[in-house]
Amino acid sequence: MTIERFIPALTRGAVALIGTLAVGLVAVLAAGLDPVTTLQAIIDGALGSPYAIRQSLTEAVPVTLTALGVAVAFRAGLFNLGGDGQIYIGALGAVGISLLFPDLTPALLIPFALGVGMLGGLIWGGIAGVLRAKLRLSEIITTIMLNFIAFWIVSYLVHGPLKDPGGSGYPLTREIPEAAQLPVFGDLIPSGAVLMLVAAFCVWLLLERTPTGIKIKGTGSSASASHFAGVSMSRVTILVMAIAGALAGLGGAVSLQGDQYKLGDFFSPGWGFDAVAVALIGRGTAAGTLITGIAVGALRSGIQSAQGTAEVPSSIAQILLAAAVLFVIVGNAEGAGQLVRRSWARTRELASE
Amino acid sequence: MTALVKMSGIVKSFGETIANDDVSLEIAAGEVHALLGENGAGKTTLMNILYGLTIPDEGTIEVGGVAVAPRNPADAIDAGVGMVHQHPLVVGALTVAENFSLGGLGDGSPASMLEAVADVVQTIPLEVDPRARIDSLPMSLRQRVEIVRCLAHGVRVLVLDEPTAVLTPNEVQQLFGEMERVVEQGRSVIFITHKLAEVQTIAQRVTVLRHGRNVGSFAVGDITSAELAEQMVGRELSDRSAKGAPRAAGAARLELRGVCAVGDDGECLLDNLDLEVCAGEIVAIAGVEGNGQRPLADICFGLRVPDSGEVLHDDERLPQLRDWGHSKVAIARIPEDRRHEGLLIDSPLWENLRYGPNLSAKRGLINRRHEVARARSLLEEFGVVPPDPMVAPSALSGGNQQKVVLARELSSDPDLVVAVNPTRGLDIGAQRDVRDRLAALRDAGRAVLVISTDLDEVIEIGDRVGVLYRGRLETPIAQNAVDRARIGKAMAGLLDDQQDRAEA
Ligand SMILES: Nc1ncnc2c1ncn2[C@@H]1O[C@H](COP(=O)(O)OP(=O)(O)OP(=O)(O)O)[C@@H](O)[C@H]1O
Ligand SMILES: [Mg+2]
Repeated sequence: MTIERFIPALTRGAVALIGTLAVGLVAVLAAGLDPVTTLQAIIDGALGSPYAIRQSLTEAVPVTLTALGVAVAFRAGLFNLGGDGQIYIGALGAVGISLLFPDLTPALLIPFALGVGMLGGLIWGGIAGVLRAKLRLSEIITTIMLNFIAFWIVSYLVHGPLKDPGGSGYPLTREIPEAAQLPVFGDLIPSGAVLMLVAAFCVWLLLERTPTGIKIKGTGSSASASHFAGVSMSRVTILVMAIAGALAGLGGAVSLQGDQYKLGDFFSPGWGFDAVAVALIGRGTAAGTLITGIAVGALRSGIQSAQGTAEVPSSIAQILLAAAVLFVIVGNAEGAGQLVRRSWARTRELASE
Repeated sequence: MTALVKMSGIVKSFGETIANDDVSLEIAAGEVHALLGENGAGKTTLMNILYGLTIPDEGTIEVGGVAVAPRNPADAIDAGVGMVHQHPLVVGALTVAENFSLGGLGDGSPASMLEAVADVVQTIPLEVDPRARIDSLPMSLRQRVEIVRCLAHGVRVLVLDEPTAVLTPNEVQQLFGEMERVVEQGRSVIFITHKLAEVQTIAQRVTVLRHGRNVGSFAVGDITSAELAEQMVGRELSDRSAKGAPRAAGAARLELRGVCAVGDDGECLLDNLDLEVCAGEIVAIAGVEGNGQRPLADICFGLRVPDSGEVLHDDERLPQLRDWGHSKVAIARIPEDRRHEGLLIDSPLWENLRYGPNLSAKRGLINRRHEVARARSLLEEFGVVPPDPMVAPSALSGGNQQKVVLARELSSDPDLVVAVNPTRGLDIGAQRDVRDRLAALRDAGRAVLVISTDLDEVIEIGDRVGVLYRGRLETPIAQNAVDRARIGKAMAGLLDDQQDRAEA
């Protein structure tokens, strides 16, 4: 393998990075801030101390897990815009189990709650998969509808039946028992980060080393060739949406058990949609998505802390993320662009049937 | 001689592949100029460059004495060059009239289109409904749509890339008639084909490419087919065909009994069809597109359930394709449309070589290194150039794409082969290779069913030969009892009893 092979990838990366930084610079200047101190504050906030690193990882976990699911769906030519709904259902499952069985030992309760959260997400994503496979309903629409449904279910519960009676009036559940809370290794590495790495490895294994992965990518790149090969499009669709949902559900459960401990209306700050951007920037690959997810988590966490130290508005993170997506697509018409085009083509086919 | 087109010193490489290596080509006004060469010789690339689809690394192009450097097909059309591609480029989901409007011919309404092409259809009758969707038309008509569209733009040079590969003998004759009328008007046609007899029939001059280089241009009268073949491959080709006489056929491997298929609009596609393909024989069925070979193939592929009748494989009902992996059905299937059905056009070849019903039967993890090595040896065995398991079919020439499909299907140790146009787009050497492989499978006691629009292929490959016309099949008869002229007529429905039947 020669260095020339990587040059296109490097130029693409450079285009995306320079473009994104340029937009960031404009945004920072427009906000009337000094770029150098701002950058310094963000880097410090993201990586400056063990605590900062731990915060960055914690911030990265739910978005990355969800993005891994979105990436799998992209490879099959499907849009999973339902990350948020799946996160809420996942967190709901985890909080339910944690509060119902507070007396179990951590060794039982932690995996039990995580597993039920994952299952909830799996079902929520699977519903969209079944609707797509059996009733030919576009997953773009159904996942968004399912987001609303999940959100309102959770909102109803935390305002009513599940609301902490002893709380300060905020619509939040009780805090989960300590037995359900995820440990942090060496005060630095949250267990969620480990789960995130394992999940990324599993997604890589699935896509690159299993017959199912070949089918997922095959259905994404040609429906007609897959039909001819005897690959069941509907089976793959349901499977992929279920996997995407399960990963997002796990993301919700991990954030609940490892970070927030209570479920409320504002549990997810829009991770489900950030995840779409992360999967796109990562070009639908496990490694790319993992790296992008961690970077986005660090950026968010860095800007949050810089909000305090240098008065950097948090919207800068959103601007940078949007710019990065744009520049990745511009710099890389064949990778990220192709993912979108293919998925879009599958959706259009659906519409013309 | 006044050169209408003059390409000089054209160089084009894709990574390490040099597709065109200092190629020069001159086309006179008013001639049919054939372009010959093995699969991957660079014919399509050279013509893509002329048509602005590919930008050359080096070289110059003149059309009518004016230097041009087309960067896209619109430039080329402005310069007077039109092309009908090896794989149709028209938009299948649009109607004929809408496709014309994309090129600025009319506004998408049938009336405006007919007005725009009025001059052209006097010489080349279009004979299609402007409201018809392109993908509902048979190949021959799609081609005609493209030819008329090019001519309506007033091109002086018409490039046809393997147009006859998808046509029946009668349609080829029709196409040749159209080509003659085009050159009579002082325009030129560049004609790519793998069939030397066609070159002798229609072309005045011929240029041979070999490994990306121009090895010579000849007047057709000065060179024999055998010499042309030699020029193409760079050595003498033996006349030998490995196919011996058939031995007595064994038990029926594939049996269709009273099979009927009904189309979406209730029309009869297959009419009470009986067919038996036995171990140790090759049955070849000739038929023009649209006469039922598509549903017949789909039924044998396990993709379609007949509306009535039975399909038996080794005396048991043939299961649906998705269950093949579990029931150990070993049928090799070569589809009609390699780009859309046969291949994942953007996925690496090693994945393509696995993509089929047996993929699901494999458990556990894929040993990537093992798969890539297996793919490489298969690609080498089937003469795919380049034999690189990591490239995608989109980077291969048309003939090499076909070889990938053949490699996947024929390497699976099938007990039955169902192949539609198996040698379409292959050069002479590769065609012979496939025929030899099919004969070897037959000699090993396997059963082979070939369905083809290519009459020569049918007669050369088949031990028994039949014709499918309007969904009806006469019992295939022994190949040595076949009357070629009669079959040609039967394919076109010109036999007297067919006419009677049609009227009845
Ligand atoms: N887009 C591409 N990327 C990489 N290689 C390519 C590409 N297009 C063509 N090639 C290579 O260029 C060579 C010439 O291809 P070309 O399609 O011109 O052959 P051809 O003479 O038309 O063959 P055929 O008879 O099989 O259609 C082949 O080796 C092919 O693999
Ligand atoms: Mg070609």
